[in-house]
Amino acid sequence: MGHSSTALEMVIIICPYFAHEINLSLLDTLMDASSSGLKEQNILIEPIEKSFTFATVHGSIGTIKTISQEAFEFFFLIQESILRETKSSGGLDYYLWRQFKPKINSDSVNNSEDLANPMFLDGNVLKQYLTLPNSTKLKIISHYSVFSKYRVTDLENLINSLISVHK
Amino acid sequence: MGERVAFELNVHKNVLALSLDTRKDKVLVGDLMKSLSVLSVTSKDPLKVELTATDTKPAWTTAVKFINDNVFMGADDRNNIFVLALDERSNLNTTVPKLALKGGFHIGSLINCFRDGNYYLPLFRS
Repeated sequence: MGHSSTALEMVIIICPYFAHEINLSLLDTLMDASSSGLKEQNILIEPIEKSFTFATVHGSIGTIKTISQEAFEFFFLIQESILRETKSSGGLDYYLWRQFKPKINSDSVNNSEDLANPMFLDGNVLKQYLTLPNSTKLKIISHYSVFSKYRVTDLENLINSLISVHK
Repeated sequence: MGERVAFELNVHKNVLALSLDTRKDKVLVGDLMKSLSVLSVTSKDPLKVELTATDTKPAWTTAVKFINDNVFMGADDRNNIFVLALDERSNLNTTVPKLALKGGFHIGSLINCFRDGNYYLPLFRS
């Protein structure tokens, strides 16, 4: 079913904090080529609110983290690129599977509010980047100019720091 | 022997309250049919709790969590999580402010609890 996770697997979902005012100084810092890599990494993965855990009736456990709008937009582009380069299970569209479905046979397929303003990232999809062949990783970097100053290892470290469940 | 727990207050706004979360002087209630509602303590002596916001769309809410003072997360029986927020601009002429749906995500499995903190796996497994 799309990119669904199996039971007991950690599913980390990250949603943005939709502040009424975007912190422009943060955006400038991210774009500044002279900033140290470590400083950028901390800004991108720093949580905005306390993260918390959820558990499901089938035994899955997940973590929900809240990150800044800038960080969300950055990782959203990575997620988009990964989904473009990887095949989903059974050929099912990832966004159709993960779309909010409040009712059976609901018309949420045409829920423009949900589609227009994505606010969740799937940690399982981001984690896929770490297991892709190097050529695919390079292809993902080439999709958007915002990744131009990052190497494959930089993205791997960023994704790893964001979704890591190890202390 | 300890102190005796005494009945203090009854807030009858729900069909069946299934989940709760608290933050400062607010309580977030998840209902069997009425989705999420936010209660606030308006007076401590005598204790008074009032409904400050509610989601008007029906939902069987299985778990709730405060993200911050104005943003709330719920999980429903359709295996989704969704985020609601207080929308001050559209609540100027209403007696009880409505919560606006900001987004949702289909987990694929029914969430029955949210807990503070992270679950960490040990680095080395035997």
